[in-house]
This record gives sequence, structure tokens and C-alpha cells, in this order.
Amino acid sequence: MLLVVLLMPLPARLAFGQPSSASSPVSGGDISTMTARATTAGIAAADLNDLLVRGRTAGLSDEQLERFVNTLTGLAQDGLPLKPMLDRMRQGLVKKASPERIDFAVTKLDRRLRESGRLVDAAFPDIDAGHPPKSPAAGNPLPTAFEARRRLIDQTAFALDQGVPPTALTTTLTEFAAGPTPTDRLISTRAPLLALTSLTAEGLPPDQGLAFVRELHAGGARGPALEDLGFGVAQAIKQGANPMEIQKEIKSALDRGIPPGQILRAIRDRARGGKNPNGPPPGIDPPGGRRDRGGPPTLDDPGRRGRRGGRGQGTGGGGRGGR
Amino acid sequence: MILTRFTRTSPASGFLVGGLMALTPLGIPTAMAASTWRAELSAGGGYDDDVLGRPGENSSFPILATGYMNLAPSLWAVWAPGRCSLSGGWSYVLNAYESEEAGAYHDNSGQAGFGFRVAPDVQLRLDGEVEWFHRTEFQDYDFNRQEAAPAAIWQMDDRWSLQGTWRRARIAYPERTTQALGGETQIDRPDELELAVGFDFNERWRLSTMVARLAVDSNSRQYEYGGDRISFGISGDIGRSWAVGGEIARERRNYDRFLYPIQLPSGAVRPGVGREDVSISLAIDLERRIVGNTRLFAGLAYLDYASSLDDYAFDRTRLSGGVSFRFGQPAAAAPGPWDTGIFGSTTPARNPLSPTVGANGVTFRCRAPRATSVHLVGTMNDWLTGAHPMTGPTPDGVWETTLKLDPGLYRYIFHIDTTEWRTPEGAHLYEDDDFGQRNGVLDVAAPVTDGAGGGPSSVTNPR
Repeated sequence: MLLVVLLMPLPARLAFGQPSSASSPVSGGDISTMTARATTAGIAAADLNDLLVRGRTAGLSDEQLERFVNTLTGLAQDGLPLKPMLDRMRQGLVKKASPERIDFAVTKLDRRLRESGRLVDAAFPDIDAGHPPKSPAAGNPLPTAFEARRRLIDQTAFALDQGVPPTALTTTLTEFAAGPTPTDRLISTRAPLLALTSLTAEGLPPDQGLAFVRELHAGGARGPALEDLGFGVAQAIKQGANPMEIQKEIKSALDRGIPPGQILRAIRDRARGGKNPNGPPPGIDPPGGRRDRGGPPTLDDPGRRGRRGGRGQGTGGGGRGGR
Repeated sequence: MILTRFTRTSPASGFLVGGLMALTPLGIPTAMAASTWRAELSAGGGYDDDVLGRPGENSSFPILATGYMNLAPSLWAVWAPGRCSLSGGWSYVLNAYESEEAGAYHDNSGQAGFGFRVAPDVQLRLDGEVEWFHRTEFQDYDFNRQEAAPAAIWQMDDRWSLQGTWRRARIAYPERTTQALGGETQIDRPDELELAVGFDFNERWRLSTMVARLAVDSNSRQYEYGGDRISFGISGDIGRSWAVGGEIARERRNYDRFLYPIQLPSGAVRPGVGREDVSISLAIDLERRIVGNTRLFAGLAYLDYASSLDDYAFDRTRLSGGVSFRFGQPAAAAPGPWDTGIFGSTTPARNPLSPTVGANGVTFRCRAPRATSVHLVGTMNDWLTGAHPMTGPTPDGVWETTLKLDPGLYRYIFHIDTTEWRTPEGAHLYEDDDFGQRNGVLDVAAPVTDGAGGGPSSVTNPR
């Protein structure tokens, strides 16, 4: 059944996806030409169909749908990942964002993906951007390096979005690439990149984050263990831990030969409050929490009132006064 | 001061909660994980501009304006076995004014508290405080104070919380001995009831309101008064580094027993009985985390104090700013990060730990006790709202679903009752979706072992 639908001409497929009373979502020769070009560029017909049906259901204009298709086609032709863009478009539709808002988000992501693609391709000049299969529906599997590169571009775009600067990304992509095959080299940068992203997202300066990732890597942390250590440290920083202290502690643990997994478990145990699965009991904030704990004096502190009182007039309030 | 209310669990300012004890070497069983401490040092300054009395309204007071420098160290520790907690702290404030007339003041206080959670949603607290205040000028306003404050906190659901507090204090003014007291020290006994309601608009923003009723007894009768107060506040985070708070409050005080006759500058004399003061205050605070535990803060506050006696009316504007350094580690958080709740009280946010890994895949959880349906929506189902219904709620109000996921970067969010989008708590990473919400982000990679002997599920995150 799916195959039948996919092999139908696009307008007919769109109609197939609509309630019987609905008109064809996109009409005219332009869209047919455009969608044909899109599928030729490597966009799965099912994805295209799904997007157009949803767009039509959401009331988008033909012009906007054309912009969607053109954006996807452009990404596909340039060997950039389609999944994050489809994701963003679908998300905008399901969240009932305005067409202008979706356009803005799509344009922003397009820019990010292209910047990310340039960074990845510069770091891996010997890896071909690859070409999409002629017909995924016919069972032609995607090349592994092709997919690994696209995933890495997606991840790098996310890192850019989280505030990791291009220079730090370039360093990460080149410095941590390792392995006998192009695919291995692409995949090997994934964990350091995510660890750096986690740390940067929590406010650690990128150069400091990169130095920390280097230390973790040098200590033997790889793959998900490295990602998790980066994530665990980022969480600890978010919750107020001193980055330098925790780095020092983890480095010391790695130097002592403690496996990364064990370090990670220790971090998690602590982050979860040790043996208390339900979190800490009440009253963990300082008592009298309404009062100042540092910072400038309050507007209505007793001292200020005292100045008035010192004039022999008295305000009648005295004491703490208002808060 | 609003900065204290920034102590909520959020990406930009969640400094209160946490659980990593830097003092405990890694690899050692974390038996002390429920204990924690924190120290803070803040330094800053500002500028006050007071207009005492109403210009043109027979005011005898000049306009006062002065800068000040401020230094405020504090320490705090908590021990939290089981459902109880014991906490203690000390704080000190030194405030030195540029004007010799204003002088300087020192404020020392020690705090202790006990908390007990009687049910998942209900907790009881008893806080106490002892304070010594000394001012180099106008020493008749030196005081020492003892306060006890029992409170009950009810987390009604995952957004609404309610807190009732009774505050009872004793304030002695050792230098304030009047003829009316026969040489005795003046002692005031404020008695205050508060009711506060908090509403978490989303994971970043909190709205709160409080009403309070105050009655002050004193052995110096003219200082007795009653009053009430109502306030509205908002606090939240902007981006990853900024926190902002604002509050507007109105307070009324009625000095029914203010016996002294008042001599006005014009020479006329009027009775003080029945004097009523009404103040309206507005405050805006900003905080920016620079790196690690270092933060910059700034504030703008305005107070309009009106009185039935013109001489007691005044305006005040204060600009302040500075830097704070925090040391040590905050308390344990997960799975229910705790924030300071309404006006500094502790309420459990009760966020379930999610996502987690298991033998069957990745489990997503969402706390929504009053929802009739919850769906997981995201990359894993091409953003189809009905594809992954979650099961629940459990007695704790948690909905969950478990999925096997292929490697990749997943964005996701929860859809409550088919109408509300809710950002996942406890996600590994977040992103702004450009449509007004924040998605959780999860990176799924192939599990690997690391030689720790724990196997993939205990070593890696949900992958």
C-alpha cells in the first residue's frame, strides 16, 4: 500500500493524504516540477508527501510550501542533512506557529546547517559529501559515511546553536578524529563534540571546555562515557559546582586509573542525592530565606530607618521595618 | 532584595540545588551526599537618593544622597537524613556610607532550621534566627532580634504551591530608653501571618503573590502598630546566563497608639494618634553569571512612602550593583530539584528523573498529576502528536513511556491534554525551538563498555 502511494504522482498522493472533501493541497505544474526535482535531489517521497499534507492541513499557502520544498532541495543538493530541517518544519506546524515564524526558524536553521557543513567539510576534506541513493524506496541503503557526515553536521549545527564558536568546533573536529575509515573518523568526533556542547551550554568558556574535554579524552574516556562525563560535569556546573574543582577531581580520578564509567556513576549518585531516591527532604535552603544573604542592602533596611530616627523624630516603625 | 528569589532550579541560576560534593573524593561511597554547604562573598556598592518629606509641603528635612560600599559574606550548611533536614547558617553585612552623617552599619545574623516532609506534597518547617544590628550613627536604632517562624508548604500540583507562615519575633533596642519606659529597654514583639501563592508559569518563570498581616506589641506604646502587606513578584531566566526579578508591593501601617504630638515646621502642633502610612515599592534586580560561581548583580529600587503626617513622607531611589562569589556545593537535587519556592521558602519541584536507560530502551517521564493525557512528541515520531501516548499517572502523578531509539540527536517535548506543550524537566540538553517553547534534546549513541564492569546500561546514558 505504501509503495502504491509513493509511486502515485505527487498531487494525487497529496489528495490521498487528505480528507475526501479536501481539495488537492498544491496545484499547478510548478509544484510538480519542484517536487520532482526534490525527489531527484534525494528527498524521500514519503517525507515530502507528509510535509505537504501537514502544511496544507495547517493552511499554509502554496508559496510557503514551495519555499519549504526549495529549502529542502537546496540542502539535499548541497549534501546537507534533511532530517533536522524536516524536524523543524514539522515542529512548527504541529505547534501551530505562524507561517512567518516558521519561515524565520527555517531560514535560521538553513544558515546554521550550511555553516556547520562548511566546518565539517573543512575538517574532513577527503570525505566526499556523498550522493543520495537514487531510490531509497527500492531498498538502496544509504552509504555509511554519507549518513555519518550528515549526523555530524546536525550535531555541529546544534553545537553552534548552543554557543560553541566555530574555532572551537574546528579544533574539536580535527583534533579528535581517529580511526581507520572515514566513517570511524567522523563518528569519533561525536562524543568530544557533544561533551563540549554540554559544557558550553552551561556557561563554561569554550576554551576551558575544550581543555577539559582533552583531559577526559587523554584519561581514556571515549564514546558515550565521554559524552556522559561532559554532561555530568555540565549538570554539576549548572547546579553550582565549581568547574575548576570538579575538573581537578575528575582528572585526579582518571590519573588514579578509575574507569570513566565509575567516575560517571559517582557523579550521578551525588547528583541524585545519594541514597535518597526521592530527593532531599524539606528545608534545605538557608532558614530565614526571605532575608538577604549577601548582595546590597535592602531598600528598607533598619539602618536607613535609623537615619530618620536619629533626627529625634522616630518613625514609629523601628526594628526590621518592611521587607 | 529580590536576588534571593533567584535560587531556583533553572539553567541560569540553579545554584541552590545540586549534589556534587567536591569535598568527597570520587570513587568513595557518597554516604554524605545528603549533606552540603555553601559560602558566598558579595561585594558591591550603590547610590541612594532620598527625598525626606515632601518638597514644598512644610518639609524640614533636606534631600539626602549618598553612595555606599557593601561587603557581605555568608556561610550555610545542611544535613538532610531521610525525610528531615537540619540547617544552619551565618551571614554578615557591612554597609558603609559615603556620607559621614549616615556612617556605617554591621548586621550579624545566625540561622537554624528544621524541615520535615510529612507527605510527598506537604512539608513542615521551623526556622529560627538571631540577629545583632549595630550602626555607628544613631545608635538608638541598634537592636538584637530573635525570630521563630513555623511554616507549612503545600505543593498543590506541578505548578501551584501554597505556603502559610507565622512569624513571631522579639526585638530589643538597648540604646532606646525613653522616659516613658522608665529607663527600661524598648522591646517590640512583631507577630505576622503570611499566606503566599506561587505559580510556575513554565520552567523559567515564576509568579508569586503574598498577603501578610502584621501586629506589633511594644512596651513603648507609641511604637505599637498594625498593618498589612500585599506583593506581586516575578522571577525568571533569560538565556543561559541572565536572571531577572521584579516585585511591586503595597504596605499599610496604622499607628493607633502613636501618642506624641507632632510639631510641624510651621510651628503648629498636631496629634500623632491615628497616623497611617502607606508605602508602595518597586524593585527590579538583574543577575548575570559570568563563569562558574561568579555572578554580577544589579538592582534598581524605588519606594514611595506616604503618611498622614507630611513630615513622615519620603521617596527613595536606590541603584546598586556588585559581584558575588560562591563556594562549596549546593544540596542534592535529582530527581526532584528543589527551589526556594515562594519568597524564599523551600518547595519541591518534584521533577521525575528523565530520560533514563533501561533494558527495554529509553524511558521518558513527565509529572502531570492532573492531566488526562500526555504524549511524547518529537523527532522520534516525526512530531506526530498522537504517536506515543504515555501511561499514567502513577500515584506520584508521573506519566511515562519507554522507546527503543536509533542513534541520533532527538528533540522532544510533552503534549499535555492535547493543548499544552511542556518542556521536559531534567533533559540532557535544551534548545529554543524558535516557536516559543524549549525542547529537550537527547543524543543517542551506541552503548559501549568502559571496563568498569557495569555493562552498558550502568555506564552509559540512555543510549
